[in-house]
Amino acid sequence: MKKKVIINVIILTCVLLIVIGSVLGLFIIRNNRINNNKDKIPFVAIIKDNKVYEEIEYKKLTEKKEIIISDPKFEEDVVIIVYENGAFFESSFCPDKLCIKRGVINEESLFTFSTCIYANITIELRYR
Amino acid sequence: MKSIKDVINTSLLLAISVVVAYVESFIPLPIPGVRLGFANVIILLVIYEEGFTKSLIILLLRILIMGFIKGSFLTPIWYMSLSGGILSFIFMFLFSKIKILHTIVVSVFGSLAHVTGQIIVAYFFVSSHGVFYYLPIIAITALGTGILSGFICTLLRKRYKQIRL
Repeated sequence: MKKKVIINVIILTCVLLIVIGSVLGLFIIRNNRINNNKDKIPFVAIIKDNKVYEEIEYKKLTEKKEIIISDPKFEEDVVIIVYENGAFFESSFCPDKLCIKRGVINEESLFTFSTCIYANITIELRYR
Repeated sequence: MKSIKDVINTSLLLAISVVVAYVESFIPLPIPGVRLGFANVIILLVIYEEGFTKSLIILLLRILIMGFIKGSFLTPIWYMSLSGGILSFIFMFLFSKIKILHTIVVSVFGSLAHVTGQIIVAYFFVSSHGVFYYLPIIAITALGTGILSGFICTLLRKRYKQIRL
């Protein structure tokens, strides 16, 4: 009985360590990305149906740019805002609004992308 | 299904599973896209107490019914739910056969398999490897909810024989 408990605790601890390690790895990847791309110009690529729809060097923008993406299969238009600090989904027809909740994508953000799976539209941070 | 009691019992478990899944979809959590996954408590319970066939039937019918209720049937989210549910079911069923593993450990592996299945399908829809970066974040919540679900399932298993029809 005691041996069974110990084995289960060891397995749970190992799983916990692996998961925590991978979360820490995400932050390391983020910091490396920031350090490695200091001299490069960041831009956001808006990808629709796996093809680049528009690329914008957001740091050059002086005012907010609204990108409205329409499609006959969409229930309503998808609106993306690009401004000097990055890009984010302003509105979408998806029921869960996960893309909007993901927030702003820029060099500082943990993730380099935000996706609306329903519309198959992705905002992706890239460098040149 | 051996008797009418079996049919009623399976139907009740399916109904409970659907209600739990529906109610928990309204519970807000700080991380977008993360859910508590308490509906899997019923699946895990049925895997242990009723076996492979009934648990698979309840899982598939729950995903189908939830797709109709939430209006997500045959949408990417529904496919993600289906793949996560099936992968989670396979892992929980296989690990439940290892007698030395506690229900909580089996539940944790089920939760982790669920989010992994969802991310794999999301990758096919989005075609961006970036979706895999989201995995560690949801995995850490899956770990917490998996432990909680496993604990609830352990409590239910002790009383299941008394409440079963």
